[in-house]
Amino acid sequence: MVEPVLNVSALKVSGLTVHYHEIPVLWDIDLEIPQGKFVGVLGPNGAGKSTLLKAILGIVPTVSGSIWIEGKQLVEVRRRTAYVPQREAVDWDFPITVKQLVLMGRYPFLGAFRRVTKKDHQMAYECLEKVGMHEYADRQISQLSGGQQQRAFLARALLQDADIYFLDEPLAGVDHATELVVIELLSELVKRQKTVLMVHHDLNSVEKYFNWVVLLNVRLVASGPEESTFTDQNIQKTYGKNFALFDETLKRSRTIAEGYND
Amino acid sequence: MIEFFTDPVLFAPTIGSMLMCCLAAFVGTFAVLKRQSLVGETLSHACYPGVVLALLLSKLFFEVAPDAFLMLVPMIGASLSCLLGMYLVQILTLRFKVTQDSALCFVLASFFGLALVVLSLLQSPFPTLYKELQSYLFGQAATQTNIHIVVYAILSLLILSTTILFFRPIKTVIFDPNFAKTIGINCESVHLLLLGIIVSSVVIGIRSLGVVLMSAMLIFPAVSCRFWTVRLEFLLFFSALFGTISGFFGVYFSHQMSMITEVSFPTGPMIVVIASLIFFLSSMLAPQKGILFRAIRRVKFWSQCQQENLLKALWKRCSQKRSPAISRNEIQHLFQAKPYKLTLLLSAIRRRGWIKVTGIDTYEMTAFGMLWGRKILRLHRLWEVYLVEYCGVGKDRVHPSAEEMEHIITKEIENELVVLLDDPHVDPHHQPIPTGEGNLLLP
Repeated sequence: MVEPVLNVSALKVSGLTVHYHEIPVLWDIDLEIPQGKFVGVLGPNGAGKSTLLKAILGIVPTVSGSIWIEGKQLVEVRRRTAYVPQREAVDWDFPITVKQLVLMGRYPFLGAFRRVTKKDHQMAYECLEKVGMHEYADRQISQLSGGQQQRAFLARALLQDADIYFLDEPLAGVDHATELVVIELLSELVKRQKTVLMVHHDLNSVEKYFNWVVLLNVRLVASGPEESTFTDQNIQKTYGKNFALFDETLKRSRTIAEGYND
Repeated sequence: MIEFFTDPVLFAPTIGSMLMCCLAAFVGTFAVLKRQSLVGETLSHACYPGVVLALLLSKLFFEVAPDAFLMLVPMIGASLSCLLGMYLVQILTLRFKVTQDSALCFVLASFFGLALVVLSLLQSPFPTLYKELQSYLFGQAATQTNIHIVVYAILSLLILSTTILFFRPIKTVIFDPNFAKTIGINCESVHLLLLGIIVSSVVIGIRSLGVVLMSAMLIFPAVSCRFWTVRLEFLLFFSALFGTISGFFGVYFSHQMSMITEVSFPTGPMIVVIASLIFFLSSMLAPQKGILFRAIRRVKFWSQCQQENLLKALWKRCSQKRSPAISRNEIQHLFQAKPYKLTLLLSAIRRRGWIKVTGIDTYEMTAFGMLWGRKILRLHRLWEVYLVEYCGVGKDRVHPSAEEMEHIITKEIENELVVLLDDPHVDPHHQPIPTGEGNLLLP
């Protein structure tokens, strides 16, 4: 594995705009995040938090903007990123076991054809141990509780052994124990100079968890160290009403532009 | 039955049908996992205009041509109109913002309807062609020859090996498309590959199964298998197996019925009937998800609850009296149940070693019974605390819920409750909660 270069920022985004059904969900985002930060991505519903992660990782197409991960284009550093989707994004009735789910984290290293070896299994098991799910390794994923599903997802990301982790609301609807495990493991990654971006909802725990925040509401409100950025004024700006008007107007203009009646 | 594999006339249709059913069932598993069962239905119906036009053209222009070429003609026609149908679905959903299920139904009905109109027009000028085309509606295995088998076998092998080769990307894309993209899998290509193999299996399969019932073979075996297994590899294997079995018996019965009744029996419906039978049996008999075993487990659980309730009542009484001995009359008084039921329950908990018989109608609780009864009461009261504190349920309403929950006894749940509630000692009704010391694990 290549050691991360310390003098480049983990993530740099400039002029990023994303449309969904021709309605902007992200508008001209400029961001720069240094390495080794635990970043909370915050904002109201529909602010484009998930979309920001998806756009950075190339899951959704962008209208404009450029993205550098550790100073490089995404295609060059894919293996150094790991993504944990929202729990609802996958079909938990899918016929695989917890171990097989976690093993997907090795696929980038194995490609489409190389066989899964004993060593891969061993590594997967270790990651399951870290999240406290090793006893469930052979369990069907449909039998897991919400918190256990999230832990399995986290184990998969850990197995990817990335430099920068993107997590989409990993704490939504999970039990207290899982929340502790998730935060502890992620903090440990941050201590090892990895960067973690996490979409988060609960404003009360921001101070406790993160050392960097990104406040988002279609446009970027603020991005910076937690102490200086997570201020009442910025929160008011993010969650206040002023952006709803902008959003509403854009939606209406789009509807008319498409030839429908307003 | 063996003559279906040895007889030169029966051999080709039998093997051919088995092959195509095997393939359809295998490929259909992916459609089922993608929750796109309706796509198969639309694809098979969208095939039909292609078949009609292709056969008409070959009738008009290639009167004399090699067999292998003539058999490929309807397959090519079918593939083309299939793909056109799917393209139309795409346009309808993306451009015209029609929902996907409506778009699929629209394409299904309009393509099929169009083909039927053309078919009616052909009836008087081309009576033999009309008959041949009609056989594609419900499937006819009988006219297959060895050349068909060879072509089917090659195509099946091709599709099978492609799927095995790309198994990992396919699995990842169906389960978690976003993650798949982040690790560099090209999702569009995988979706196209899947569409390709589903179209191929439909195009091959309509010969035996007919356009109307084709989709059953894509869906039924996979759905039946889901009752039996939770492993993807097994799911694919058994699905293919169920498909093959349906294919064989479909041909077998359609042949036998035709012999007996001297009316021609189309193979498609027969195959589907067999596949339905497999589905029915699976839904009944599968050990984990089958209705029969689930019913048995339900009854068992219910009787276990009854036994534990009785034990709880005994424990309360005995610990009050500070004596393990108890008489039948006392029990009858404690536990309102019909005498015969009580007799059954008492003998059941005796078999569990919770009580022992000390004389006529007198019993004594064993040490094991005491511990177990205490544990149940403990869980009951812990749940009551939980419901009041965490779920905001009123004190007067917690008892019935706790009554249901106390029977799910695992060490894990108990420990989690204790940690969460900070090991309480009284329940909401100010009853003491027995301590966790001396807890027994499940025997």
